[in-house]
Order: sequence, then C-alpha cells, then structure tokens
Amino acid sequence: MTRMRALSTFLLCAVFIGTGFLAGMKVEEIRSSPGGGFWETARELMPGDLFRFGVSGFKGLVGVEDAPQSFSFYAPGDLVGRSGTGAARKGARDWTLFAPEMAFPVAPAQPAFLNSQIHSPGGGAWRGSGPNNQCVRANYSYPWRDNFCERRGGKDRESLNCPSRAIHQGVDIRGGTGGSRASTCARMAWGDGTPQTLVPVVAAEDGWIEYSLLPHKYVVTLITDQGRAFNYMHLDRASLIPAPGTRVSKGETIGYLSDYFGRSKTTQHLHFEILQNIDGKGWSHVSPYMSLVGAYERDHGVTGVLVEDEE
Amino acid sequence: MQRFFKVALLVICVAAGSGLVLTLSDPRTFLAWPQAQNFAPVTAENRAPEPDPLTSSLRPLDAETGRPDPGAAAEALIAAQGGSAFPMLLPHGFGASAETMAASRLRLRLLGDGYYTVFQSVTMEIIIIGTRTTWHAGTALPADIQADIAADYVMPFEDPGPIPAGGAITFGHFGADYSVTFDCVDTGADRTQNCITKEAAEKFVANLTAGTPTDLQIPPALSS
Repeated sequence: MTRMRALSTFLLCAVFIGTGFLAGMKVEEIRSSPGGGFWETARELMPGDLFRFGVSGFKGLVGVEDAPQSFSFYAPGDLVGRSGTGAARKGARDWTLFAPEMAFPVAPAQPAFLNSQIHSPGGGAWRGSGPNNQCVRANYSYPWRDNFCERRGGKDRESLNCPSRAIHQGVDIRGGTGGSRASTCARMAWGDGTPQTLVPVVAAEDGWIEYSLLPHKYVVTLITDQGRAFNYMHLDRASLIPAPGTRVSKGETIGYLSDYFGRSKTTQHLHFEILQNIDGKGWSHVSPYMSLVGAYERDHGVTGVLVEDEE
Repeated sequence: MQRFFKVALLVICVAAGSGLVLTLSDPRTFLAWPQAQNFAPVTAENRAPEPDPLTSSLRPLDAETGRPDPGAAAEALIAAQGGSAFPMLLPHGFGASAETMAASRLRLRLLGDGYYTVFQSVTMEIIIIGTRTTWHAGTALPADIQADIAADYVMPFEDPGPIPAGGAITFGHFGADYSVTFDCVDTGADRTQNCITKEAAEKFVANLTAGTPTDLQIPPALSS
C-alpha cells in the first residue's frame, strides 16, 4: 500500500513537472521560434532549459503569474563603466525626444534590449565574470543602458552633446531572445548559415530607403521629409526588402537584424542612428536613446521604469 | 525499491521547489517581455521626466544667389527643378537625362522641405540631403558657430576612421542646410586608409552647383 502511494505520488509529480516543461517550452516556441516546430525546438534545447521550462510551466500551472509591470531603463547618458561619458546638455541629462513619434525600429513581435556590444558578454572589451557569450540571458534583459557617445576607435567624429569626439554615434539594439539554443540570438549566431529572418526591422518614419549596392556595404539609410534621417546598420544584406530609392511607410518591414559587418561579423544587433538638422549646428548625430524609450512604450503599450545606476 | 521511489520523489520535488524559489526571486524572467518584468511599479519617482518639446521651423531660403542663371525668372527656375524652388546642389554634370541616371544608379527625390540625391562612383557612394527644416534642441552652441548662423557655414569634416571608411560634411548655403555623406567601398586592400580626405571632400562640396536637372523624371513634390 505504501509502495502504491509512493508510486502514484511519484507519477503525479512527474506528470506535473512534465506538463510544466511542455507548457513552458510551448511558450518559448511561440515567443522565439515563429518558424520552428514544437519538436524541432525541443531537439535544440540545452539540458538547463528543461529545468527552466519546467519551472516556468510549473508557475503557470499553480497560478503564479508575473505582475504586469513595465520594462526598465537607466537614465540617458549612464554608460557602462569605463566605456566613456554619455551625452549631456549643459551638464545635465538630456531627456530630449529627437524623434518623438517614431516607431521602434525592431518590430513589436520581438522584445528589444539596449546595451553595449563592446562591454557586454560576447563583446571585445567584456571584463566581467560569467560566460563570455553574446547570447547570454544578461544581454537580453532589462534594464536598458544607453551606449550613445561610448568611446570607439574612430579618429574624428562627433555627435550632438557628446563631450568628446571619436565616439559611438548611435545606439546598439539587441532584438529577440537569448539564453538558450532555441533563442533567436543562438539561431542567428550559430545557425546553418542561411539568412535568418527572425527579427524584423521596420521603418521608424515615412521616408525613402537608400543603401549602396556596392559590395560589403552595411548601412541602410531612411531619409524623411522633415530634416531627419535614420541609419540602420548590420541588417542581413540578403534579405533587405525595399530596393534603393523606394518609398516606405512608418512600421513597414525593411529587413532583418543580423551580424553583417561587410567583410567581417559583429554581434547580432541593430546599430541605429538619428541624424537631424539642428538649429545653428547643421546636420548632426543626435541621441536616439529617449526616442527609443518612447517608441518602445508606445509600440508595446507599456510605461518604462527609470532605475538607478548601481555602478 | 520503496526506498528508491522515496529518494526519487524527494529529489524531484526539492529540485522543482528550488527552481521555483530561484525563479520567483529573479526579477528577470526567462522571456524578457516588457509586460513580464517584476520591477517596481511606475511612480512619480521612477518615471522619466517630461522632456522639453522639440520644435522645428522652416528656414527662409535665399535661392536668388543659388540660381544657375541669375537672369532667369523665378518661375523658370522652379519649372526647371521639377516644381521645387529649393536650391538643389548637385555635382557638376549631374545626370543629363533620366536614362543616364538609371544607368548610373543616380537618384534624385524631392522631400517635403528639400531634396536628396544619391550617386555612385567606383570608390564610393555619395548622398546629399538638403533641407529647410531646422530643429530647435536648446543646445548650447560655441560662439563661432552662433556667429555664423545667419550666414553660410561649413562644419568640420568627419573622418570616422579605417573600418567604416568615408566621411561627412554639413554646411549651410542659400539659407538651407546640406549634408554630404561619403560612403567608401571596402576594397579590403588597406583598411587603414580612408578613400576620401578632408581636402577632397571640401573640394567636392565647393564644386557643387545649384542644379537644373532638366529632362529628369522627378516625382511630384511630397507634402509634409
């Protein structure tokens, strides 16, 4: 009798955990594998995923739900330590929304994360502990961190309100998911080499699309009607959608996020710039950071939480 | 056998319980969707401050000085530029015909407040954007730039360095603002050398002329 009770309890527990695993994995499949099948996703899982998905599904089964909170971000100009000094206006933070009505450049079908490609895991200047892998979960987590004005090796380039030259003139955006072999990051980074159209990139505003057909070019420019242009870098070149000179509408898919960098590769991300004709200064690179916060809030129907920099 | 089941049951339940505790204590969920975060609720204290509204205005043009034929009537100039009164700065000898443009991958588009043109050489692609719209960002400007606001001005040439080879110049003319971007071909030969120098870029800009792209099939002006 005791044996029967133990056996039935064991089976119940196993079914419970198994169901939780399947439920959790199904969520992952839906969220990050729009083109993949259920069992295809299952085959790609790492052992650690089994446990994580089990817990995720377990939470759902017992009714533990994440509270509907908003995403979070560090203040503009709070760069990661040792990476440079962020943009500031008259010594204060610059909260300006230079493109206040733009669409977020990564389609709302995927989450997006702003952080340094150089000073985060998988980047050339990563000095932290833990795995040095661009697809780690930490890279695909909130809070967002500004990386406009980050020090770069360029010789002579400036941006509005950056305190020094030779800096990063845009913001780097990771799109999709990380943390497992089924994530969009892993599938793009370590796939079979075929173009991965997992993370669509869209037009921020109405305008004209331009890019060079010369070999090894990796910049797509969107020129708008009102003294503004957007530069998109590292889109998958083989799957660019509009031909150069095409008129596109705000929110229209123009290509897909990738690691294309001409003759070399970078991490899986979108480098995004805003150029604007500023009174008395002329055409300048301006900080996209707060414009991206605003666009993400609108496109995802959330409100961002400003968090204190712990560094 | 009974002992085995008990141990197995204990291991599974402890593992599940530990995982649950760890997950609940982790503010980041595995799937980091914006609605699934356990950060503090939005309050007045952790909400970003409201930014000053960004305003724009249209700069008045002084196209008279940009006319290719100063004696021509204003109507003739506008007609010659496909309906745009905007002084379109173009490279000398730019696209004599629509066929030439198509063959050379040249493009010219009218914008709501200006124009842009793209053309390609063997070593680079060049984009020129001209606009009347200027955005007021409340930026503190150096005195030397402030003094030049009402007149023509030339900003420093930007040389981004060896990998993203190329450069950019922004300048004012005829009351409008122009951006010229040089995007170099990566030949892979010597990536420490840029394909465009400051002197060459400035010479290129100095040779731009207010164009009369007659015979071009310019799309109708777009309303903003």
